[in-house]
Amino acid sequence: MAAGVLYTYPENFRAYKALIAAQYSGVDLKVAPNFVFGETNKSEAFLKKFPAGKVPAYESADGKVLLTESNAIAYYVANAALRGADAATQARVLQWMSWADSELLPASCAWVFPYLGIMPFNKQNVERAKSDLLSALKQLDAHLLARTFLVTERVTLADIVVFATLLHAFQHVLEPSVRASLVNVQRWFLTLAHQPHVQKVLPSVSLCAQAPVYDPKKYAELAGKKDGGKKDKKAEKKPQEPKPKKEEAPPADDLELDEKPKESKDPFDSMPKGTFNMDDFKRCYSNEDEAKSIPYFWEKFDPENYSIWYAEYKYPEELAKVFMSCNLITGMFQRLDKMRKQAFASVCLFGTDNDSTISGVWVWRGHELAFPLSPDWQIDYESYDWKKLDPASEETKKLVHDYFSWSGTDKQGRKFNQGKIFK
Amino acid sequence: MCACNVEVVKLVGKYLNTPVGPICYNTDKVLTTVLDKQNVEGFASIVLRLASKSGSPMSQEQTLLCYQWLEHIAMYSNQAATNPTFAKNFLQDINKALEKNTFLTGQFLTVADIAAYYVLYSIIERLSVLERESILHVCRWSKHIQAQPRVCASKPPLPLNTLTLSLLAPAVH
Ligand SMILES: N[C@@H](CCC(=O)N[C@@H](CS)C(=O)NCC(=O)O)C(=O)O
Repeated sequence: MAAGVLYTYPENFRAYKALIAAQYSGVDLKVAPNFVFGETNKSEAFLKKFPAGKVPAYESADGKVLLTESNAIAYYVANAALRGADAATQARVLQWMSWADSELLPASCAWVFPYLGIMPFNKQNVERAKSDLLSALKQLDAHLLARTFLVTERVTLADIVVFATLLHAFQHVLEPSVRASLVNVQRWFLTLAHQPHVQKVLPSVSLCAQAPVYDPKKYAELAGKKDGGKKDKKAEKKPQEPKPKKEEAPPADDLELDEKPKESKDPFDSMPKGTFNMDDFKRCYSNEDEAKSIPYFWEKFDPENYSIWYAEYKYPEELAKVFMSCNLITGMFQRLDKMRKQAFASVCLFGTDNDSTISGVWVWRGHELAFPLSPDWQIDYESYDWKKLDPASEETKKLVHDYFSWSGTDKQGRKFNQGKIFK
Repeated sequence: MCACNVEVVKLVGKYLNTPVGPICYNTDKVLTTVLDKQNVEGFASIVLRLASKSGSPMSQEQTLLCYQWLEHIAMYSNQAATNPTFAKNFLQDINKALEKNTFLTGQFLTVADIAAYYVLYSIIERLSVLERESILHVCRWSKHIQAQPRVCASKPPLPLNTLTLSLLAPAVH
């Protein structure tokens, strides 16, 4: 029998594959007690058996079978029913296991991890990951339209592995409205989650209740911990989560965090102050009617040292709900907090649920796009198209008027819905 | 002819490996039998009693949901068996329920699925390929139910594998 020990940290979705398979097969698979991620798996004794130092890792009771790679371990502790009765079925099972690793896992990690704070948030990367995962899930949904389980009329390793691979996504990012468009996948997922053998390993799986919100503090904290300077950097990482792919965690971020003191400097300091006083204008804008504050703006504006920009959100088709769009804007403002001193913006949402756009007019010190000045500011700006406006043109006058006074429409004529001021 | 009939109860009894007693219609044309020296009347009650006799325990919620489905089916299947337009709506309702749920009562196979399968068998059997495609969730479910051990012991499986389902979702993607 395949009785043995599984080395893993708690709540490792890869370990679940083997633990669930063992429930079905009745194999006695114990999780190694006292396992410490980053220590146990880097110890000499462990590396002798498993040179890669990765988990999950499996050791049979008699010590003769040593395995790494979660799919292989799950296969070994499974039984014939889970593996498939004939070569064709076994091959189909294998097909789905490979599919989970290559088509689901990378996209799922790149989408989920930024929200868990274990990978930096980059809007573009997250959007790409999201669309990759959703298109893979569309395939899965079509497959499950006419099927109860992936390969046969009962649970196989294919179901267990795909289920475990999708666990994070279902818990953290696949919000109800997204799940509603994947009704077959959701049905299958819930049926698996309710299987008695699965419940022995995962007593309750709670599904993502609302669209995930990015919390920049989380990443800073975890990344900060990572740089805390103890022994092995990797060992300091939150053990519950697999490590993000190297290329996705640019070393630049680590450096920035290492050099904390510098960060507190105002990146705008390197540019001439000019004659335009941002604070005075903001005070006027807050206290006076636009009939006064807009002329005041043009009177004081210093085109020599300041610039005006028009920004348009690139993915309007994804703006489902008005309240979510507003969160998008306020979230961006929060992340740009340190930019406030030398910048002002009015960002507006036009249209209604499922038919809206976001655009805004920005003003800041200097003539270049300000966002590259600080690593904190780079999260959102790539999601917008930026156009520098000519302060002398009539078109700019009109844009400034419309956006500052929250009147007018977007380019396609959608009515103004809500506005947010960055000040 | 009645769709929730003596034959279906006998098939369910066979599936559960439980004797169904002297099943027949009483003078009010209600399905009746005697189980454990007690009169049991009505399709839903008989099926549930058989299930509990066979020793498959269910939560109270499950039992109630089963009862609801069995009653629903007992109520409308006769008309569905004789009136194709009515059958269409009847099947659409079940199809809707099976879109979100793998089984009639949710995540677990119950005697309601087994009984419903036998009741719907002859209705589905008569449908054209096109008509079956409009109730894909029912087809998926039927395919799954008839793959359960003992379900096809006394009736051949409905031919659901070949045409419709493989057309829409080829085995290998
Ligand atoms: N493909 C492997 C991946 C295993 C893996 O990457 N494990 C990570 C944690 S989830 C690990 O042990 N990392 C430790 C290290 O790289 O030092 C599997 O499925 O088992």
